[in-house]
Amino acid sequence: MHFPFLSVTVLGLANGAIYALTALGLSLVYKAARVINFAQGEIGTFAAFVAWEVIAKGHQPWAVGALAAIAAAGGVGYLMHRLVAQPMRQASRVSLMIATLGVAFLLFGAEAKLFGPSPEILPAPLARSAFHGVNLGGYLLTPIYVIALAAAALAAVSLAALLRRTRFGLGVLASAQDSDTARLLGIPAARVSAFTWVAAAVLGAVAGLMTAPTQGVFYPFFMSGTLFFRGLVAALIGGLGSLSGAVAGGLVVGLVEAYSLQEFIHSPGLPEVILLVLVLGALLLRPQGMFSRRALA
Amino acid sequence: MIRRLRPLACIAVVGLLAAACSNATKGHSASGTVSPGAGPASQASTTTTAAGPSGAVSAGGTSQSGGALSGAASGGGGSGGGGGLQAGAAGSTGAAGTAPGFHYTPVSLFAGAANTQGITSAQINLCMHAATVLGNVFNERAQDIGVYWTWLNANGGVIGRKVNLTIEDDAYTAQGAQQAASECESVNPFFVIGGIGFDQDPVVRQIAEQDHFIYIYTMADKGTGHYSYSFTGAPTIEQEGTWAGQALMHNHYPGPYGSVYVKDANWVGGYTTFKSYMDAHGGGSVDSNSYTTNSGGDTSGFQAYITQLKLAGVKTVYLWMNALAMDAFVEQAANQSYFPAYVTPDGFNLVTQTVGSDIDNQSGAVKPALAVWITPAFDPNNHNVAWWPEEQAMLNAYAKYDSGHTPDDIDWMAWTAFAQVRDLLVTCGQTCTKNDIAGIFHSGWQDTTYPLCPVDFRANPNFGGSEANLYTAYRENGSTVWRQPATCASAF
Repeated sequence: MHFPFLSVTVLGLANGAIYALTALGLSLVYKAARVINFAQGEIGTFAAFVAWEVIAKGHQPWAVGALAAIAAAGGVGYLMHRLVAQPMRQASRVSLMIATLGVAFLLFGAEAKLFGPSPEILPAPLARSAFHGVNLGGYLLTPIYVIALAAAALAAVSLAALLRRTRFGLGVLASAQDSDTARLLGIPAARVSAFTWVAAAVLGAVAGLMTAPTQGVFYPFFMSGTLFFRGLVAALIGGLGSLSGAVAGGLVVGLVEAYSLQEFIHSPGLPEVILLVLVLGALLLRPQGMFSRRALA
Repeated sequence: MIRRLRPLACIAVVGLLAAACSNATKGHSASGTVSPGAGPASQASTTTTAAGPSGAVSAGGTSQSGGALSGAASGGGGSGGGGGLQAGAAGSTGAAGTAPGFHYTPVSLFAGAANTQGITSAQINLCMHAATVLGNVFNERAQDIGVYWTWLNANGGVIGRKVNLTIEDDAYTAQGAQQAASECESVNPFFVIGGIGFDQDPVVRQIAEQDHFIYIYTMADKGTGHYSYSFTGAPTIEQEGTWAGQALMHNHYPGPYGSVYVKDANWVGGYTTFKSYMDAHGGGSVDSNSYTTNSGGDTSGFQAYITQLKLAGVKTVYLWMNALAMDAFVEQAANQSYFPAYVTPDGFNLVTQTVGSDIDNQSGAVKPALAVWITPAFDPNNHNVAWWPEEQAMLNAYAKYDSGHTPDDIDWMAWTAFAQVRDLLVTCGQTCTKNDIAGIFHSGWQDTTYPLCPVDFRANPNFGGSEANLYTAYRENGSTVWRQPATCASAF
């Protein structure tokens, strides 16, 4: 049986796009606060639950549920800024990282309490009867993956445009480089921090909204397991803090995972080991990231 | 630099390990069902008359609504005789279908007070383990499961006794079942009932044999084959596997065939028999894929299997996993534009309600999904089935005693299974003891609690089920439902 190169590659890229969204959120926060946000994946789960509540239980259109999820995630991000990042701005990075881990568990508990511990099913944004997908060389990329790819591309481009083409975005980048100097130059540090956490949370929500339908079911802590760590690997490979590296890293992780899953289909756990080796190798050989030109700050 | 990066490397290591850990445990809450065991049934120590199709309980009892299950079935020595069993199940459900003339001999498993623990002249205490953790996904709460007993108690109980059911959450895991069994033991029930769960029931069965309590469960592997305290009126998972093979071969489901199954001792029997049947009956090579999970509930990462099956041109896939995992599989397959025919044990409405449009007769799938299950298909909109009066009786009871809840197939499974438990208790009679209950099974009880399939413990006192129903996914009025082309068959 020959290796299904095309289908595995396309699927790997599509999954990688979702990982890239997570990696983007992680990199954004790392860029601004120099911490890894351990709640990034769980924000995705929380958003998926909010969307499920609105769409599946409330019988509202998918777009309404998605907007509610993104708003809720944005709220979580803002609360993380106000209640965690700001009060702890003088604390060590390790302390802040542990605090984000606490937020992840808090969200886990909230999901179990508010929505129940059961697995749930989030409908796909588009019915397959309405849009069959895109044919890529004989392989039909179904709507959910088309949307995932589009969402990832849109998020990456929008974020890049915002950061590089607007005064506020340049302020964010300046703050990331040297927050004290940026503050002296009149860049509002609090607003920059708020934007960073909210934007990262929104990216997490979008990733969650894409992951849940592609996986079929989701449940509390689901995306901390399936999404966060692949996103983290992507961010580490791409270079923490590098937004373009996050996107590239996400695609690499998606491809490596897809190829290894296919090749070692009867060896459970091996694909995870391969990812682990990949990230360790990347950290040892090119710590600033495989796709970053600068050394790690 | 290396020193500076060490924390990051550690984070990555911890992260991946945690991810792996999460994968290993997420099945804990992943797929499953909340439902009671299809309990065995028993035979009265008296002569009973089998109920008719609509379940009107006769045997001297009243019938239709409000009939109290009174009657003085004098079990005692179990040699028959005794008072006339009066069974009048409201709405006809749960006909006392014990084979006429059945006699049982009590066993000597329990001595002294232990023999009557959990039963008094006024009350019977039962304890059940079920995956109430999955209540949300099945729209089911613990109190919804037990409505049968509320209804029955309001109508006289079992020979004048009220039945008190305690439900412990088994979390749809083996560990959870162990804990739930312990909780059940602590309330000193007359016996323990096992809900659906191929991982849970074997664990509690083992505990029952070890701790010496009577355990009546839904479905599990054959295990050692012989038990003193554990009984089921359902077939084994091994039988399910054979039936799946028969169903797809006899219904001309096209090959090549593939399977994805849970690689676990509690599950693998259902795959092995399927594979054996296919090998022996011209099914050709089955493209087999196993995955590892703690509870059959791992719901992610099927993409590689799907790609492989698709590449191999597999047209019919045997999914030997729980309903939630099946949902995930079908959804992930559809996301890869793969629409094979499926054969599965997961004849739950959850499946048709969630992924039905990908597996029914209008879906574009190779053929509609087939399922083999022990309870007749539940569809409150279909009044053209023989068991509609039973469904209606249940719906009426839920409307009265649990009006805020919309009854579903899980309630239906509970309702019918509890009716069979009631038959068992009625058969046991007024002086029922644990030795009597076990004795009924060991004496080869035969029972038909319509609309459940008949049970017969003559060949094996621990396993009384040898029949099931065949479902097919069918779309009507815009919804996908299970239709039942074969009822209570011993082969498909």
